[in-house]
Amino acid sequence: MLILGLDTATATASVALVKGKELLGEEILNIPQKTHSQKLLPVLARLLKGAGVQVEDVDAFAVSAGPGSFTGLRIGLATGKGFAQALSKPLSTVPTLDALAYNYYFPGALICPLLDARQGLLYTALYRGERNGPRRQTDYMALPPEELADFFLVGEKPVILLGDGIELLGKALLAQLGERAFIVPAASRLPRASSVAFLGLEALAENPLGDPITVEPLYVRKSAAEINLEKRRAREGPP
Amino acid sequence: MKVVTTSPAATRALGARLGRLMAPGDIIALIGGLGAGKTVLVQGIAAGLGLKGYITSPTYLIIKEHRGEIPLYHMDAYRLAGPEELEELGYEEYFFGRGVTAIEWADRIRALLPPEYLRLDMGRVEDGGDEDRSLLFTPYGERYTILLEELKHHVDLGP
Amino acid sequence: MSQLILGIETSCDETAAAVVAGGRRIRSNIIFSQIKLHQPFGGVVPELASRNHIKNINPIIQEALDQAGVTWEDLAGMAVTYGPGLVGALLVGLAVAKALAFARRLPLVGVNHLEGHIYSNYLAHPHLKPPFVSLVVSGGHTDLVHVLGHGQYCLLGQTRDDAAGEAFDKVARVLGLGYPGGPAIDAAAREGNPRAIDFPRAILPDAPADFSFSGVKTAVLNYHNQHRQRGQDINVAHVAASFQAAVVEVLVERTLAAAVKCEVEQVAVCGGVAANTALRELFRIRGAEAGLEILFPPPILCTDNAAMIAAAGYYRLQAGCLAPLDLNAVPNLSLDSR
Repeated sequence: MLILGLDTATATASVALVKGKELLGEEILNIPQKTHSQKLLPVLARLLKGAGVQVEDVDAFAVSAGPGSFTGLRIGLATGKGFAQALSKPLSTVPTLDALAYNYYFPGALICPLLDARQGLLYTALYRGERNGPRRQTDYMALPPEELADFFLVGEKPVILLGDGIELLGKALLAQLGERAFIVPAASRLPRASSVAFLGLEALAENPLGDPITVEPLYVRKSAAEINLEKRRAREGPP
Repeated sequence: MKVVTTSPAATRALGARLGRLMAPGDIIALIGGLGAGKTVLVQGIAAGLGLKGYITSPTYLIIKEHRGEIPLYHMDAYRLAGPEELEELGYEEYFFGRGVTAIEWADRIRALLPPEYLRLDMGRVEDGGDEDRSLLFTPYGERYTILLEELKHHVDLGP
Repeated sequence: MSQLILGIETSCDETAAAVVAGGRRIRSNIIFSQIKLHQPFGGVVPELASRNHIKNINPIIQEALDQAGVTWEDLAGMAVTYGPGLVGALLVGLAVAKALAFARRLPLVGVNHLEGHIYSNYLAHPHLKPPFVSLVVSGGHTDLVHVLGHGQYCLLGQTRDDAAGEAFDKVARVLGLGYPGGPAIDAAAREGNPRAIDFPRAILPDAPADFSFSGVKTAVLNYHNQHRQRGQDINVAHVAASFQAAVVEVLVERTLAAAVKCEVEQVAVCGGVAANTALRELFRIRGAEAGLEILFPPPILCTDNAAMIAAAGYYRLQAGCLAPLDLNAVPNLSLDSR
């Protein structure tokens, strides 16, 4: 099975072609000056050409579904949906934090992917490294860095940190972790479409039809409009 | 600093004086209801910056960019339900860009404003004429304190 | 070559797809309006609009193909709106369109939303031929355009402050008529006297084809405030009718004057506000007096739709204006920045 993975959840755009257990090729462009709308398809076209693959030969598409930048997620998902619809192929959405944890999972370690959620918040979830992949231990969360401390208290396990939110962690938290903290090398620190593609393959093995074409990004944060409306409705009571 | 203007033309003229003093990176947050004269003041700022072309209401597009030697980024936060919606519009490019940023209905995105900016509360004057508007300038940060001092030299504050 | 174009439009709060043959014949025109979602907020909330576009766009495209009875193989190309509009909303349609076109190896053209509105009259009136004058009047735009040929426009005038539709929305808010303001004021005005209150008509002697609606908006606000301060009720129907008359008269007079000056015989009015009944009526009367043919699209083509995008796209494709893979959304796109 040949699967094309896409990730535009952060400022990094990446696309990857995975065949079975093998990575055929991957393109990463970490150039925030250009929008995903400008980057994604040219990068994708280059990868296909370089790999000598026709787009019709791709059997399935996997998209990084979030959390992340709302607009970035939608560009990636809209692109994946377009391909899936045009070629009548399955589409699999992969939580961005799952894919990030997959970049660097070490058995026995606590894996903590961190993405900048703006306004002083981090998107995160905690994973336990196992031999066959990371296993998620918490919900997908948007929280201030301080609240992460509680999750780190338990145990002596090393804590593997990755993602563009590491800088928001703060010195105090890093000092508290001390020797336990391990910041993943830059090459594996950012979201990668290859991880998205591998996890997409696993998901499609379970559910060969993939996700419905109406699938939405994993926003994690509600839009402010929805929050305001809920508050207003709660105040006014049931209609 | 408080000023009362008695016509849209006077509001625009005040904006133009302010615009002539503004520099790249400056941010002005306008707060006031419908018809308070926010867009009129921004039209003045644009003229003061030497921008040609019309400064139309940004309500529909949320952000309008007007190119010039010093560009003007004109925003309307009225329909933004909260700060993160402006983030999705790429506000950082504007706030920390090389132009002057004017934000109408800025009270809706207070959490996103940087620590230093010029706040302007605009409104009708109680018992005043239909065209009277009060403008209350509040500086946040030294840059804006200096800016207001300069503006004072150019404005007749009245009795 | 087949003549069929698939159009996609997501510039604001309508998710739309359509199939048009030969730039003129609508084979399908699917519009999913989000208006009910935005109503509680008194206007289109950008993030909500984008969230609904990404959810619905693909089934709507499928519906457009199915209803037209065509498959991907039948298409000659695709057209998508790339501006003006809300950037996040535009990007959803653009990304879907680029992927579809890439995967199906179809030529793709980017269409200016305003140009699209002009083409809504081509769809409705097969005999419409350039040169003509077009008034594009909606919530975001009030543009007077001399259409010289396909893809050839001369912008004669535009609003200096608020768009006409925006003035309707803001006045409706003040009068407590709700959102969207255009239909609400149209309905309320039917019970009122358009001569009851003399709201100002902005005169711009230096630019006779330009518009300004900020003044009339403020005048309605003043009227409202004065009465409230005195504890008097206002007659909402009279205010709505008088406000509407002030806006409509200016739109009609400036447009007809421009048509006479450009020596055209046809005037095509389009955009959301073109559905306003008072505007249609006054155009009909004054147009007849001036010996001009006034064309309106049916209401379904006044609202944002993808059939108009497909129509405009057909001619752009014929002109060979293909979109590059890195085509980006241009939220401030204007008719003369093409």
